[in-house]
Parts: sequence; C-alpha cells; structure tokens
Amino acid sequence: MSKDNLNVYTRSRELYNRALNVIPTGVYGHLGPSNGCAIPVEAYPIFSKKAKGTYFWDADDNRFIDYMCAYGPNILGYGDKEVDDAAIAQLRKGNCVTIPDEVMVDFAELLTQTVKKDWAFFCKNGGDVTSLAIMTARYATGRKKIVMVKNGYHGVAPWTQKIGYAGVLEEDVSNNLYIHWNDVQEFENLIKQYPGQIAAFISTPYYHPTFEDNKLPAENYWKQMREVCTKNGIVLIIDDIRCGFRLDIEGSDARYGIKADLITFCKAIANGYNVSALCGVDSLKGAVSDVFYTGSYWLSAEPFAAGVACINKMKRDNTISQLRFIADKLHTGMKEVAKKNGRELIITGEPVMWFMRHADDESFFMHQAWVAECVKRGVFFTNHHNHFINSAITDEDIAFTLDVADRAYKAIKDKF
Amino acid sequence: MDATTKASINLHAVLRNIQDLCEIDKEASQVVAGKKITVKFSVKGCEPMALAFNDGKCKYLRGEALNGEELKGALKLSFSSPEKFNTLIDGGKVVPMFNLLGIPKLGFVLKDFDVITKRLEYYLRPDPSKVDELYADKDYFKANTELLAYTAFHALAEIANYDPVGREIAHRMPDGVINVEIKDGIGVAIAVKDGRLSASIGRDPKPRAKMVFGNLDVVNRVLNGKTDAYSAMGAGLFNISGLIPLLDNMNHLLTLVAKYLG
Repeated sequence: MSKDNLNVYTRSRELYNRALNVIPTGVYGHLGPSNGCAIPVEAYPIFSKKAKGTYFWDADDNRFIDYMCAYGPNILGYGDKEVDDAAIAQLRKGNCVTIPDEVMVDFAELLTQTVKKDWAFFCKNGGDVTSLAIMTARYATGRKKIVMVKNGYHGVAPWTQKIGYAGVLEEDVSNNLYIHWNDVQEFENLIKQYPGQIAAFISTPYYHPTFEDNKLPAENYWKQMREVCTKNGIVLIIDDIRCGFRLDIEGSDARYGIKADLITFCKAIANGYNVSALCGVDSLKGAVSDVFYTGSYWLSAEPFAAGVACINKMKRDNTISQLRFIADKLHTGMKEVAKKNGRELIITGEPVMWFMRHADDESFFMHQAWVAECVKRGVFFTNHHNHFINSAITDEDIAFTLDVADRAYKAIKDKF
Repeated sequence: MDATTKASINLHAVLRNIQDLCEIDKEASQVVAGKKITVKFSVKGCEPMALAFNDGKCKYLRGEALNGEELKGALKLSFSSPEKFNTLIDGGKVVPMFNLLGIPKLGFVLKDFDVITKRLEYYLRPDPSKVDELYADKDYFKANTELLAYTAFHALAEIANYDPVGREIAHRMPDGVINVEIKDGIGVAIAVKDGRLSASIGRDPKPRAKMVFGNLDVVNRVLNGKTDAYSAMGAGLFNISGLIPLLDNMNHLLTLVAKYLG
C-alpha cells in the first residue's frame, strides 16, 4: 500500500480568491466547485496546471487520475500526440480566417461517412447544435412543440432549462413537453393530446441524469420510438453530445439499432479541441440550410484537423473496444475493493460512462465522503455525475485507483 | 407577485416570528407579560394561523394545533382578501372583520400587538441609516440574522405551496428533509413531500440534504444579497451535502423569496 499523503490546495485557493473578484462565482458552470458538486469544497482542486494521458496536475502540483475526462472530451488521453500534431500543424498553416480551410470538407466527409449521415454542420459547443437541431425540426415540420425526457440534459439555452431558473421565461419553455424515460405509451399519449403539433423528440441515447441510477433503453424502446416518430412526422433527434464516440463509432443511434433523423456530437469528437456537429439525413438538409446560424469561431480550422486525426485514430485502434475493456476491469476491481470494505458499490449506465453510488446510502452522504477521500488522494471522481473512460488508462493506473479507493473506504470507516 | 402567496408569507413566515421575538426581545416579552390571549388570523385563500400569548411568551399555531384549548375565546381577525391583509402588514389602514366575542380584546390588537409588530420590524427591517451601528451590536446582529433566516426559510415553504412558479419548482423536488443550519447555532428543517413544503425550527435527525453555514455573518450576507450563494459555497463559507437536487431547487425558491420580501 502506498503512503497516504493527502493533497493540499493552497495555490488553487489563492487563485480562486483572486477569481472571485473578477469572475462570477470564481469558476462558473460544471467545472466550478458549486455546479461541479465539490463536496466538501476543501477536498477538491480548483485550477489545473497541466494534463497528460489520463492525468491532470492541479495548480499545487497534485496529480489526479481523471475519471471525468473534462466531462467527456478526453477520449484518447490528454495531449494525444497524433491529434495534437495535426492540430498544431493546422494552427501553423491557418486557423481563424475569412474563409474556411479545406480541412472543413475533409472533416465533414470523414464524419458523415463514419456516422452514416448525409451532412454535417459544425459549431463549437453541444448547446449550439442541440438548439440548431430544434430550430431545424421546427422549420422542417412547421410545428412548435418539442418532446423531451424528464431530467434530460440538452445544454443551457433557455429552451433547455426550466421555469424558476434564473433568466428563463415561461415563454422559453412553453412548447416543451416531457415524458418519462422508456415510456413509449406516454409519448403516444402526448401525440394524441397535441395532434400535428409535435416537431421533434430529443433525447440522449440512454438515461444519464445526475444523482440517479442511469438507465439503459428497454428492449425495443428505440425501435418503437423510431416507428412512432416516423408514423407521426416527428423528427427524431439523438443528443449524442455526451455519449458520442464512446458507445459506437457510428453514433449512439447505431449502438441501439436505429437511425436518427438528426444527431448531435461534441465532447469526444476531437479529443478536447473545440468543435461540435449536427449531422442529419438528406431530407433535412434543405431545412437546416435555411436556418441562419453562425458563430465567430465555428469554422476555425484547427479543431477540424484535430477531429480528423481523432476519428481516424479511434477507427484504426478500435478505441471503443479498448474503453469497454478498461471499464470492465476497473469496475470489477472497484466492486471487489468495496466488498472487502463491507460496502456495496452500485454501478449503472453504459460501463464506459458509468454512474456509481453506494447501497444503503440513498442521500449520498457516505458516497460524497468517500469520493472526497479519493480526490484528496489523487483519484478524481465526482459524486453526482456519470464518469468517463479514456483509452490512455493502463493497468497500473487501475491498480493505483483501486489502492486509493481502498484507502478512502478506510478513511471513512468510523464515520459511516 | 401573487397576493395569496404574499399573505401566506406574512402569516406563516413574518408574523410567525413573534413566537421567537418574545424569546429574544425583552421589550416584546414585557408587553405581553401577565397576559393570556390568543389571536387567530384568517385570510381568504390562505391557511389560518394563531398566536397564543401567555405571560410573556407566544406560541405560533397552525393546522391541527388550531383545534386546541388555546383557541377557546380567541380573538378572531378575518380578512376578506389577501390584498387587504397584505396592505395591513405593509403599514396601510385596513379594518378586519372580528368576532363579537373578541371586542373586549381589541385593545390588545390596537395597542399591545402594534408594539410587538414594531419590535419585529425593528429587527427585520433595520433603519438603513442606522444599520451599521445596529450591526455593531452583537446581540442585535444575532437576533436580526436569526429572524431573517427564520423568515426566509419559512417564506420559502409558502412560495413552494402557493406561488405558481414556486409550485413548479417544488414539484421537481424529491421527497425528503433539508436541514439548513448555522454551525453551533439555529436550524430550520424543510420537509418536502409530494411537491409540498413545510418548514419547522430545529434539525431533522434523518435529513436527505444539509446546508451548513459557517457562521451568522455568512447567513446575513447571503440573505441580504451581499454574497451570492454559489460564490459563498465555492469559498467554503457554507457547505452542502446529500441529495443536491433538493438544495438546488431550494436555491431557486430562495431567489423567489427575495422578490416577495425584498
């Protein structure tokens, strides 16, 4: 067993105090201590200094094996040489220019061939393309209403949020309808209730909310949803921002045996370079072409080059199989360590993006304490969100993780 | 702003404080020393409540407690609309309907109760020109902050049950109890059941989520809008734990509290 050194975060804290003066909440959004559920905040680093492979180092030089992978983008390991080399070469050649670089066409061809769609529209973030998908579906169908899964997440644009959230108007969400995950009948009931009014059904390929066991699609769920959408002229949108390229190289609609009308990608598409994409079927190409949608950096060339390199490498190396192998090994080991310490670790969702909690801890108090002890010892888990596997994780990294998990259980033994 | 929600807040969050005021403030306690009288407030559309005064102390009564002995011979004040009640609380002149049995006790409302509500106002709404001076007094600061916290978290429950947006938020909350507490100090337990909220003083032994403020100063700054909750949390000024969707939605309700009490 290695020495039980606990991290200290002096520099991170200094930076955070400076940040509070000039940046709202210090660090806003999901990477910040509040939305990122750093519980307790003292256990977590706030600023990073460098990253390589499956590790990042914080501002105090503490090393962390990172099971959040920047919340998804890191799929091949931080600083992957092939991807970085392609991006840097493109950066030196030209990046943000008045007209796009030819690499945009290369990327669109590669992406559409890979995910078996007819066109690709590039933006920057996941929310850019989920919003574009909704605009496209509404324009194509001439309908207003959107059906989504309760507790689903599709970004931060006003239409994705809820009444009572800061800055969100009732009108922003007045055309949203919700169904429960895996409930085809509820969807059909809504179609009867709002005949000819539903433009699209948007959903992640499986159910991965925070603080809840993740749920896979029931048998035939997606097949039935596809049929209902087709029968009723409803655009089926798979929001693959989080899952894309981790479940199936052809997209998560392929993973679950259907073909979406529109599918969104971001996160793992370019191993951390900032690009997102909406891909779709030919029948919606005209509609998306009519939507006025653009951004200052959306056609920058560097991320396109990174995307080409990333997708080529994932295909060549069969990254998805690697991820599954690593995930299975890690989860088996973690469950054994938990059992050895008298705990039951519950893992749900797709293994490469697993959500975990502990049995007999329905309010997460013990789980949060255990995760905090892991973080203090250099394993970056979160207590609220699904995790991510990247292909740079080695057996040695897994062994380190299991050792830390064991020490974390022992650290909380007398408290829970 | 919804008038019924505001009236419920005035009843069950603002006037409720008189129970604690009589413990904290000697002046308020002395006004009701040696007196035994119960005043019941009924406002159209709102759940009624009563304040039972008994020799310097006061008990806030709601729900089943309104069927108890203390209500016998109570002075009953009825308001035909929440707007009229709110006008009264805001300092306007409104004559409530009262029961004939209560006529001899009206003097209490017109005189003594008026003194008590002014003491409550002294603590809840410090004169802006004197606030620094008042806050320098540790006892005042403690009383002000604790009463503010009681008001805010009880108001939050009323908003969750009456305000249209508040109800939407409340229905997104899982069942369970949130303990909001000040380290080594007071606590309020907020219970959520089937989208309805109730608040009570103290700590629940089995909460599903906790919000623990490091000290009174942090609570005061957050409730007075001098520090936003996310920054305060990131800075470690208060800690949260447990089922965070409960706390996240509670935070959305707290933003509505500011609108009603602001």
